[in-house]
Amino acid sequence: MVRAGLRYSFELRMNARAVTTDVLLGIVPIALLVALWQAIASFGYAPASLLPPPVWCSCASRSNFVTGTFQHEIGATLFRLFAGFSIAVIFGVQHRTSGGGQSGRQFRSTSDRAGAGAVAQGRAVSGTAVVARFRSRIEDYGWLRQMRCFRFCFSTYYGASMVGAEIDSGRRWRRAHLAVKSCSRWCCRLRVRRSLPAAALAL
Amino acid sequence: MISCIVVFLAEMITSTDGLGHLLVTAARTFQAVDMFVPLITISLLGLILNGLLQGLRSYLLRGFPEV
Repeated sequence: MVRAGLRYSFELRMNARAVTTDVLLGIVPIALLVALWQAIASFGYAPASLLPPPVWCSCASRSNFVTGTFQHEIGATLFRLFAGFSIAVIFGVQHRTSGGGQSGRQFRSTSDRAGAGAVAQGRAVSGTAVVARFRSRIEDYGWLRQMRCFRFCFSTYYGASMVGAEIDSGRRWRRAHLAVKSCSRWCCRLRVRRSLPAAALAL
Repeated sequence: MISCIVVFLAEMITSTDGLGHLLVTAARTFQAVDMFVPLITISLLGLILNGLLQGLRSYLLRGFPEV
């Protein structure tokens, strides 16, 4: 629903009916799910101790928001989410744009060679190579838990793999579809702000 | 969105605050209403973040197709 609204927001003045239909079609599944939930709770197909009605949940969430404790929990979750995502974007973009994981690269240790092998198997596993290179410098995986940053590094691992895959697919698409004239234009843009499209591709 | 999922999972496993911790704590004490409140909030957060990031992506990558 939100995605459709954002995607077609610039078309709202030109084709308001199509945008309204799209947004309404996005609302319908959610409304049906809530109606089904309410019906199950109302007709007693599930006990209230297992499946409370949505009205109870809305009242409880309202009271939680009024007391102010819920905002603290949401803030903590959002901070971790964006911190992990930012670390992942930084790692992934730096890894792929600096040419890491290429076959001709010189590696320093056994773990680095293991990372190179993982990259040679496929570009989608570049996050594995990032972690392998990271591990080669520390030589001990247990420090992650000891430093209480396991959550962030876990997000970094998956986020970095996504970043690498998306950047690779973007490179392949440009190589395949753009003509020489437009390719030079895109390359100029990418030299100026190379990390920006790469970060956005990871979204 | 992978980071979103991983953060909630990590909060469920090892954390002292956050929505995942609230959810697991309520589930362990058999409080169904308190369990569904963070669940709905997580769903709404995911919906909003997905829309925002998709909008940002389509704005930054106007010349790129959907991957």
